[in-house]
Amino acid sequence: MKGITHFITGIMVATFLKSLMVGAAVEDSLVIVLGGIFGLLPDTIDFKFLTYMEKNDVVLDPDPYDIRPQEMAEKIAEEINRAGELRPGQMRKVQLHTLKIGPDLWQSYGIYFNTRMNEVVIGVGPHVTMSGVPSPGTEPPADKAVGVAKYRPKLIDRYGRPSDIKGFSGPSFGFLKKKDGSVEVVFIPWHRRSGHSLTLGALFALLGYLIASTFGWRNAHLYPLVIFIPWFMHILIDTYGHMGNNLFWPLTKQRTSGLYLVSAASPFWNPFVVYSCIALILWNMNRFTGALSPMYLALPLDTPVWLYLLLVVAVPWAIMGAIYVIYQARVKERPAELVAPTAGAAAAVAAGELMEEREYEIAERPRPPLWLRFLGLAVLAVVLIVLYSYGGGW
Amino acid sequence: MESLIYMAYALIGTLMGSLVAVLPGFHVFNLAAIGAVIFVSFPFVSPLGLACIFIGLLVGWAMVGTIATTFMGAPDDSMRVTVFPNQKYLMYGRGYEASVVTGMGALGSLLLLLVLASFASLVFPAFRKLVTPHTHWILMGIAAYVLQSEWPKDWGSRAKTRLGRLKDGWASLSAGWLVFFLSMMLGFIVLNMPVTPIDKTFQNILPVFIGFVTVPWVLTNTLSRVTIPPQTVSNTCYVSKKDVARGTTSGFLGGIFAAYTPIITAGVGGLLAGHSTATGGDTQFMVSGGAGRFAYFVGAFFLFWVPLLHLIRGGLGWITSMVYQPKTVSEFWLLVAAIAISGVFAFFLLLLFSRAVIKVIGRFDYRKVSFAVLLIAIGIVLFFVGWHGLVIMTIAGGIGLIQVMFRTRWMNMLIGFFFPIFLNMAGVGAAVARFLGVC
Repeated sequence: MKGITHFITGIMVATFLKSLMVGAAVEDSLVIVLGGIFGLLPDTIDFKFLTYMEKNDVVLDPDPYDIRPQEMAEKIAEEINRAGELRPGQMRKVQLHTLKIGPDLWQSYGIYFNTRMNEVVIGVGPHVTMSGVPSPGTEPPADKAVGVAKYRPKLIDRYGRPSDIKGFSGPSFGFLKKKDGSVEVVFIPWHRRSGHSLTLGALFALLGYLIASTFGWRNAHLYPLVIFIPWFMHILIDTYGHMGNNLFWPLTKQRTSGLYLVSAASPFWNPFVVYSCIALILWNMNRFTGALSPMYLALPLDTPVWLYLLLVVAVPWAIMGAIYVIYQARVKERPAELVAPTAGAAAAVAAGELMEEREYEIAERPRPPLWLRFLGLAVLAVVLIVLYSYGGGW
Repeated sequence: MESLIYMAYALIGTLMGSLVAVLPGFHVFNLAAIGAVIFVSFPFVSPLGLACIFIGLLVGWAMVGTIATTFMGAPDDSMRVTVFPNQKYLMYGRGYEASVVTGMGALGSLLLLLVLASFASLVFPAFRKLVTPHTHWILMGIAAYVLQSEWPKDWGSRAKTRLGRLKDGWASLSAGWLVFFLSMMLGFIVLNMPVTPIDKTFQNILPVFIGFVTVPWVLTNTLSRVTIPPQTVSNTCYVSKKDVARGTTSGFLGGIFAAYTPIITAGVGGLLAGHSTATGGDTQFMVSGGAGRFAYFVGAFFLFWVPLLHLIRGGLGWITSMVYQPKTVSEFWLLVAAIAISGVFAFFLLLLFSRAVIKVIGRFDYRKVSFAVLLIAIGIVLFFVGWHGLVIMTIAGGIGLIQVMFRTRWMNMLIGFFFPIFLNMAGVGAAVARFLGVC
């Protein structure tokens, strides 16, 4: 999910702790902000530190004015083949760089793992701006537009879609040898490993407690909670997407698969979570500081929480959700509007526009069982119920 | 009949505000302050009539202000969120289209404000009760998020070693922290110490903003020898309904949040709302910027009129409160009507003035225009603050240049500058100032 979603989720869980809310209102305490900071910290660690620590086996940094997609596809296929010869649990890593050719201009290209045909496809697109607007007439000639190379092992691509590379920094791919002999594509393998583990969160919580108790800060016993619960929520919410986390690093070595419940950049789920968090924060403000003085009381203290959530969250978002679903359905009926003009060549390949004689349907992605996906939601419900039931005493 | 006269006042204000909006660097609050001073000496209209003129001034300025941003590149903070796409469009010869798209966002924001008006007296007073004792940590949380959520801009480091890559990635991040720190020090000095004559203290912030925004813009324009391509005035623009809907919603939410929350500006509100609603792309960015600016300025004044709220936010609210206090619900609805009529009028003025400005800038060297903007800005600072202001402007300009050179987030300057106020609200401002030796 977006950074602000994690940040405000962290703030939201911190507001369930009565001592912190009363401390904020009466003594101008700022401890609640720690919830937000630790709610976002896993991504901070990954994107500001761990990404630079990664050692890649192959770095592809093509000349933007002379891209050779066939060579690139062959190099990547070779890495997949090498990964197939590794011991289970070992990985080969390939870094693809973005190609900046102007202050706001990039040479776009894309990569697609066609697992049905055992092929790596590299497609070169036009020059695009950071936000993806193409420059007409900059598309490569047909002989330099697509590169295709075969690989040998059985490849599992849980993402299952083409990746366009056109701005910011480029992605990296890990090719992980599995016990059954297959090779799994691991998208940005440095992400959601140690920085998204419960063990590191627990370590931060312990450190927080030691510092707070050493300096004799008030409510020292709450610091571990305001650090660990937001951290945990970050990992939990991330798990709802396509990528999972490495929960017990360093005991566990690999990232798990996500629950495929939501998309991380969804224009529906991000605002929904942010809005719901704000609604819960306001609820906690009312029940904790409203109890201190009627000046701060907006709703009667005996208002049932279910009624509040129904009227303030469920009803408006059910309407929004209905509008969103109808809109999505209408867009699907007109696929021309779905495909942005910026879609790179790999996306075009996947859609069958460039190489129609081949079969490039996107393979069905392996998804976790239904019970596991329900369990993920149940964990969230349990955390919120526990916070609601016991936070008033903490 | 009386209501119609008030609407006429609002339209006159709209025309004046729109004209002022075309002048880079000149803020509508300055004009309103002059108007209030004249009114005290010569009450040329009723207090409510003056308030209606002010409404028009603000609406015109908020809507038409995109012209200065797009064609003359002298944005204030509220426009900073849109400045890159608008100026990109200008460089593609599509400045007029950028103006129109941004104006569409402002119109959308106007519509949402009208919807909000129907339940504003229910929502805002309740919201105020809840949030008041928690404002300090909310502001501190925003500052923490702005700093923590800036990601590296190394565009994929090619360094061979881990340390080399880390250094590349942290070049812009550490510059961002430096900008924040320097802005905070400037904030401590400007906001806490008597650096300007006492009678000019209320204008302390003016040279800071001109230094942060206008000075780096003029210098980079001059040094980069930028030339403006011929501009196309087309009758259509490339924007989808989805972009308008998402951009407007995001900008409106950010603008209203900034209007309600003390110290937070439209730029910061826009950033938060943009992240929350996963807004992306140049078009949504421009629509969102127009919507945010409108919601921020007009929304702040709107709050002043909301029945049972008793809240003054924004410069115009304070200026108006010296001569007029809204008392009845009917006055609130008069304001809503004035905003609606002025908003539509201002949108047409935006189209008209954009065409006029295109004709003007085509005749002059852009570097000379930039230089003229700098001279106007210096003149304004000298007039309102004096030579002390020029010193502050120069320092702020230096900080602004660091931001431009290292492509750090602009918000760091703003959040840094106002950070001393956040610290004061949390009760630790004096201690930090003592620690830093700036008190």
